[in-house]
Amino acid sequence: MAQRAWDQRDLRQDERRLCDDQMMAEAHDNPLESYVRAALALQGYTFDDAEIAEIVEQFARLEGIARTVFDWPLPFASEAAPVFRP
Amino acid sequence: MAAAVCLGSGAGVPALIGSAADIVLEIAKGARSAADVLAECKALILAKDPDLNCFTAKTFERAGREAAAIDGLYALGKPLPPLAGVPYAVKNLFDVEGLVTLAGAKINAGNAPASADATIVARMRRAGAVLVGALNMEELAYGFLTENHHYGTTRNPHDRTRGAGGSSGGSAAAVGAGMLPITLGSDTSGSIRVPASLCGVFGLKPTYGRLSRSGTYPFVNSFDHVGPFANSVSGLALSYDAMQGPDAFDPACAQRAVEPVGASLSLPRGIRIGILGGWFHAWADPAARRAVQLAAAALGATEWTELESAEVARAAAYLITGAEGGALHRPRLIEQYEDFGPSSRARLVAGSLIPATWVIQAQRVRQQAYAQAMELFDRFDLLIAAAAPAVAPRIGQETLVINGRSIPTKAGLGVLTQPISCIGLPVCTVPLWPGEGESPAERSLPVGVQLIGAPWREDLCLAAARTLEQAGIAEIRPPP
Repeated sequence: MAQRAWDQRDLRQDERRLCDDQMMAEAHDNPLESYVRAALALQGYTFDDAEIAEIVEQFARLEGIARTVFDWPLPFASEAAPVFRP
Repeated sequence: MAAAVCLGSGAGVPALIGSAADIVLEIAKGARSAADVLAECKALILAKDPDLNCFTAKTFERAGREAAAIDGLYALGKPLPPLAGVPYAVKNLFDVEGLVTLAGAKINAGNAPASADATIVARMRRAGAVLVGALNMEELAYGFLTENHHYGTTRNPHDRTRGAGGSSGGSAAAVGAGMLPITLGSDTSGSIRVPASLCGVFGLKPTYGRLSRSGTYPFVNSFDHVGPFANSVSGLALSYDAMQGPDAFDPACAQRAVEPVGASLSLPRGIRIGILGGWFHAWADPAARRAVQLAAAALGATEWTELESAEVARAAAYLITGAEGGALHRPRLIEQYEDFGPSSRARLVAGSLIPATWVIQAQRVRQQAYAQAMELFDRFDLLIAAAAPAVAPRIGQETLVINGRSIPTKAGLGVLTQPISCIGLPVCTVPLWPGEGESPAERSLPVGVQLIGAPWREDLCLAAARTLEQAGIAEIRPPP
């Protein structure tokens, strides 16, 4: 059963890759959209153009917020907040 | 037996249930039985819930067994536990034995029922509380409204054209409507404090790691907290004390002994209280500012201060939330995208695409924001800020306009809570009624104020809340 699911997913990914070549060419002028399309493909998602447009819009919001974080001065050696407790 | 703590409505159903402390006292004195209290609570739920849509499941059969156990103890003359006979309900992301843990999502509806109660639900049970049901929430706890695509919108008890806030909207509205004295919710970025503010009830988001999340449906492990709502500060304190304690099954749960607050709810003399300006003032509208002013005056706070990293802490929280939430749900977003609500699925997918550099930078920022907050706590014992930028928005309202600046409602309602939960500080939210607004409807609505403590100082947050409650500044008002 698990193998069958993997096989089906591979088929869908193959179909998607064919489409993505065209889409990536069209998105070439928009780095953010290009990134989203590439990251979606890399992570195994399959969406139509309307769905991708929604995701691009949401990712653009995140990217805007990320700028605030990157503009914030941090000491070079500052560490991330810990989450792992062995 | 008489329902002595209730305001009569004249229609056979009381208007509001009493406080947890009053219920415990009446049962201990024999003035009412736990079965009487449960019957009154059921009548309130059956009368009020159809209009508000707080409940997704009712557990009256279990509640009957739990109430009977309390009455059995009383009949035998045995000591009663601290929440004996107090009815409560939980956000539907807590495991309740025999119920499917929905977390507000259709994708969970086909899961097997929980085989055991969540840790803090089990602790409430051992403390004698009586579970009456599970409550509506924003899908997967992602958002500050409870306009749930699958299970409906939870309405605000003080104005049914407005939302209850979220994500723990059912939990706040059930208390605000007077159906229950205590409910449980979760708070990742403001999901206890925002709905408490909008529904006019008390809420406690403890220090990150204080209360066990074991047996709760996760959203963002870095920020997920659980805590109570109540119609009194004593209700918060009683339930908080009952739920404390280490739990090896939640890796974030601090291995701290129980530090009960119940008997010590008074502010120490000379307490230093600062009013948060800057970001927190800029994103508070006149009603929210007035609420802060009222609370500050009653607590004798006059000094303004700033958490300089508030904006960037909020941004960091936003990114970490997106990344962790997106990663958590990615497998099902791939397989079941259509089963997610339209307002959350694209956001979750976008979150799952966030590059690691953003997340690591956000976690570094978070650590620095925490260090800055600790410097503030060298000068102050407690900080005050509004819990929401404005009163409850209308259902479906897409944008908030705060002091001339627009922000999307779904994200914007948390603009004042996210910087605080990002660094895990304990907060008690208290309901104030500032009487400000452009219309009579707005002027009748509450705004919450956050009483923010240093880590592990829930006692101070609750003591300040009690001071405001006793002064009549923070209060529960019956819905119209």
